[in-house]
Amino acid sequence: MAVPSRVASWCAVVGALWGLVPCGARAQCLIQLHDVTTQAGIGFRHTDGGSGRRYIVESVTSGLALFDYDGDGDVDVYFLNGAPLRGTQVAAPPKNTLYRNDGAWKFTDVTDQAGVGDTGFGLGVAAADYDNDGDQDLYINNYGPNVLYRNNGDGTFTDVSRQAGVANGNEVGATTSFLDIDGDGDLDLFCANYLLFTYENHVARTSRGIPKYPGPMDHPPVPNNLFRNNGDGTFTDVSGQSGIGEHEGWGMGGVCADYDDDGDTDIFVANDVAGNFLFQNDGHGHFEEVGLTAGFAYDLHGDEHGSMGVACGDYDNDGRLDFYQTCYARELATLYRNLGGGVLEDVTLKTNAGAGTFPYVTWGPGLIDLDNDGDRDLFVACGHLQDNVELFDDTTAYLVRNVVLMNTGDGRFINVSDQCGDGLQVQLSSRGVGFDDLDDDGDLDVVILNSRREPTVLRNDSPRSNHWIQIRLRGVKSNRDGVGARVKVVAGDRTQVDEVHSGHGYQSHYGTRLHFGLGLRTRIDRIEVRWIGGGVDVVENAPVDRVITIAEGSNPASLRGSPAR
Amino acid sequence: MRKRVDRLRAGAAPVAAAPAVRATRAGRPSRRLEVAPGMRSTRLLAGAILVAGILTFVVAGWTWLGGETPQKAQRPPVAVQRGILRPMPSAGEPKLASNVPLTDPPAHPPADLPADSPVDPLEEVLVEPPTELSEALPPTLDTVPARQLAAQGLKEEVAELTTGLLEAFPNDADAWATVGKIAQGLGNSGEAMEHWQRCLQLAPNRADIYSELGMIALCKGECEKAEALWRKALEIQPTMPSLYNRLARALTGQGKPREAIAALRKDIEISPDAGESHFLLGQAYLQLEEHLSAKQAYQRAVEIDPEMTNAYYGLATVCARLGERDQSREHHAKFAELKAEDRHVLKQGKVAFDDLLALRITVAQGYTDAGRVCRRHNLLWRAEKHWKRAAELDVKNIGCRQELAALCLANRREPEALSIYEQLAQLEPNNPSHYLNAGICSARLRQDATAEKAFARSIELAPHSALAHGGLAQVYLRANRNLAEARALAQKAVELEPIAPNYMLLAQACDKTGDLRTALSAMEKAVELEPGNPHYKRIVETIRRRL
Repeated sequence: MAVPSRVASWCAVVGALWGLVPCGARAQCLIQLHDVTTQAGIGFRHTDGGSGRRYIVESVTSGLALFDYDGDGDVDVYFLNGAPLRGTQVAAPPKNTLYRNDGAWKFTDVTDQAGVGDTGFGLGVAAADYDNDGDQDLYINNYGPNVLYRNNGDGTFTDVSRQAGVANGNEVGATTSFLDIDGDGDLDLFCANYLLFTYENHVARTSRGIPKYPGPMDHPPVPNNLFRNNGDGTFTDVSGQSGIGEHEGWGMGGVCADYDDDGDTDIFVANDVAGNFLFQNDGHGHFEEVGLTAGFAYDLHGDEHGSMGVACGDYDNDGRLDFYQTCYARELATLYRNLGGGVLEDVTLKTNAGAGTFPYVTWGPGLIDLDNDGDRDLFVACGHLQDNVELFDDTTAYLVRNVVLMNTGDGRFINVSDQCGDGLQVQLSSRGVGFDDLDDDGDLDVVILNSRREPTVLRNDSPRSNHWIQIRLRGVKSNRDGVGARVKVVAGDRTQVDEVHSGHGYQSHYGTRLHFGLGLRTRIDRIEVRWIGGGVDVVENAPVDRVITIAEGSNPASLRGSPAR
Repeated sequence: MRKRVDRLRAGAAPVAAAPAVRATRAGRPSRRLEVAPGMRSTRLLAGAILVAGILTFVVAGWTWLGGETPQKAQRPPVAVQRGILRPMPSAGEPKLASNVPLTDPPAHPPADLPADSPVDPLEEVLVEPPTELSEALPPTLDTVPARQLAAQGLKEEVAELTTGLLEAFPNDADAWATVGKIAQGLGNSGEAMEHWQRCLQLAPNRADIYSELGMIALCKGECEKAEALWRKALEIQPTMPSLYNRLARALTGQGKPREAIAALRKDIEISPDAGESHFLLGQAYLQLEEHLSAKQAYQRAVEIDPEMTNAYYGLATVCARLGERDQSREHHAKFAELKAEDRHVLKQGKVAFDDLLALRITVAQGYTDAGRVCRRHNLLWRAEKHWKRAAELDVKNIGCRQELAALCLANRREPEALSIYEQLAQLEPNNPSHYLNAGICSARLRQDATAEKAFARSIELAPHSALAHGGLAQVYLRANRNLAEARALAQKAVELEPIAPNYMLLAQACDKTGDLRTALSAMEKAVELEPGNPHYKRIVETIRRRL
């Protein structure tokens, strides 16, 4: 294997494959993530609502959202929370919590002012401007009635779930996404559902005599839901007519992305201990489940995983979106390479993309460029769902550190978790994770929701020698946030693509503005935006190291940019 | 080596069954049965016992490696087919106890050995047998405390067992191996590794221990470490079943498909019908994008096992890469069909999974292995206690019952032995050796009708068993009935196994049917085969005088 010149410490970390690096060989790598949770002033503490009865829903909560709720240009943080389940007594009900980004790594709890402190049992969340009024709204997929918070544009929200018709009964929710299924310019809503849980159908399992959470197969599977936006603030449940509702599964994470490059948005759902779903969109909002033939349902061997989250990105810069799926312990988190023609291939072993994940339950995935070198690295949130797993299986652990795999640029990854700063020394049981530039310094920071504990906020302190660009889209004919739009960035010899997604990973939302690392390239030759509906805008000769906004239909595209702070 | 003992006489060892199948870790190997060879002469008793012991090991080893006993030759649990790094049962659930002794079991003690001393330091290990808690405690919230309590009791019991075993045999590698295995069965791999390291200090050439350590490394995702351990095991025991397969998994996990292919080729040399190794070969070629080779390997896998679900997935994938769309579709359809069946089996298994029962099975296996350690030290009384406890804990444990029955038979406790062999026949109704041994016990007890039925069933299941033919012939000859049939059976025994004792049996049958010339001829053949046997010579002389 060639030694990538840009990876100064490659020789030192190559031995870290499969966690066997000798201590003396460790060296600092180019990805540096530091734990700034305490200084950020974020006092949120997650609860799973459990009382020791071990209801399955406790084990899979929750996600988080990184989005700009107040339109001030920086990214705010919204944590979902559990709620007391039967047998749990609390003095005050836990609630979801919104932190306003005040800059300089200071965050202020504005939950009550904003009116987003839902006390339902939170699982999945997505943010997007569903009513095209210029601000981002929030949808929360709960165990119990779901909540749609309409952003009032003044820093407050209104719960419009009932009026909008998206409360969705009493399902156990999972990931949720806004997407435009039919190219009509407004955002529709996909809600994955986990399983049929009631207190009555709870199965109290033990392992070697130790109480543990039941597995998904202890509960019946359920179909997912799809709601079409009527354009008037209301939605219609089209689960049946769209084909989505024909398939029952155990939905967890997912992403809505155009995997077959045909200009419409398809839906990926990671199923827990069952074949994953890939709903292929016919462009008119009707979906066919093609997971098996597309190669996404199972891994290389034809095995289903205890799938958790799905991240999306072009890891090999071949112009096609690839997918990274996290899963249960004793399974490798799996990288699916997009071969084109609607076919994916599990390349985990070829690429080493599962390194360090095998013993752990893996949750929030990230396929993001952490060192701005122009290729996407992997971040994997880890932690077992059994809080006492060591008592009956000491080959794994409940509280573990997360994993970072650096893309070497030649189609492989190396495990640099030991070398990328104190942020990867934190040992908790992580769930949802989000990535965005919280301090507007041009690199992606990380926020992790940890089950039953405080979150972890990681500041990206990787060396700043590499350049970058962040792109915010403003839809006009298509949806305002540009959800589903494909962006191609050409800088010298490097072409990268990405897409705007609302709600992805593990039950989380992040990345409304797209981030591209550029390496040492100081000029962007071309930016091409393909909007949902087919329109294309092109920007040429764009500057680097700034956030730019591209509005739909302006030709030449309007380009407003601001350099990094 | 292939000599037999007259099992109708006192002091004989039982016969162990040896399913002559390759230990395929997954898939559904074709299976044929052979009845174990034995011996007819009491002076060859020790050898016969050794053979039985080795064959017991073979049977148990096969089970341990993920195979199934012949009567369970249906679709295996889905877990055995899992991915490259997942040869273990699905996470979170205990691995069911294996039946493998960690070494070849030593020879059973001869019948005339004295029972071991009553001053056994572990005399008080036995506890009251449990009630059928598993059935009484469904997985509901209100039964959790009772299940925890029952499990705790079992763990305390097993802790006493292991402590006592190590105190009694601190320098016995088998004892450390057994205790390590028990710890592993309880999910304490760290403890297991410590015990197994001690075992290796005492017996550095234990390939089986290196193999087990490799499995733990693999479970932790430490493929390089697993590779090193399995290579070490192969240095010690180059033809140990499954080792090359495991090595290939570790290599594939490190992204070394070329090396994995080499390992799998060796595995296939050892076991040409190892379907899963052909499947893994396909996977390795797929990694290398050598699609034609991959396709051939998958095709061979499904030839060996037409219901290997995962191989059809591989075929579908590789056909798609080769542009063979119709074939790809067909294989996908077959895969989907089999996967649905697998899911059904998996679902049933998950729903029916009884953790307490699984724990009891694990503990029972610990008692079985502990008993074997005691037997090696001639502490037969204690061994028997352990095996009885194992039998109480696990009503389906084959190994402890085989040991108990052998012990009873060796100690002339035929009624008990017969009862156990009858249990074994119920547990494994297609295993001819249980009927054969039951026949031997019955014959010794002069229960001719029972013996006749048992030998006949054994012949039905294993038509090429000389032992069963000879046994039934002897029953008829002793009862002085069905003499023509007895002669035919004896003749068949000679054909199947032309050894001196069988010629003597034929001579006896011929004598009873009045054919002294053929009897003489048969005895002369016996003398020719065993010229040093004075008994045979005397019989020859007697027949000549009568002629």
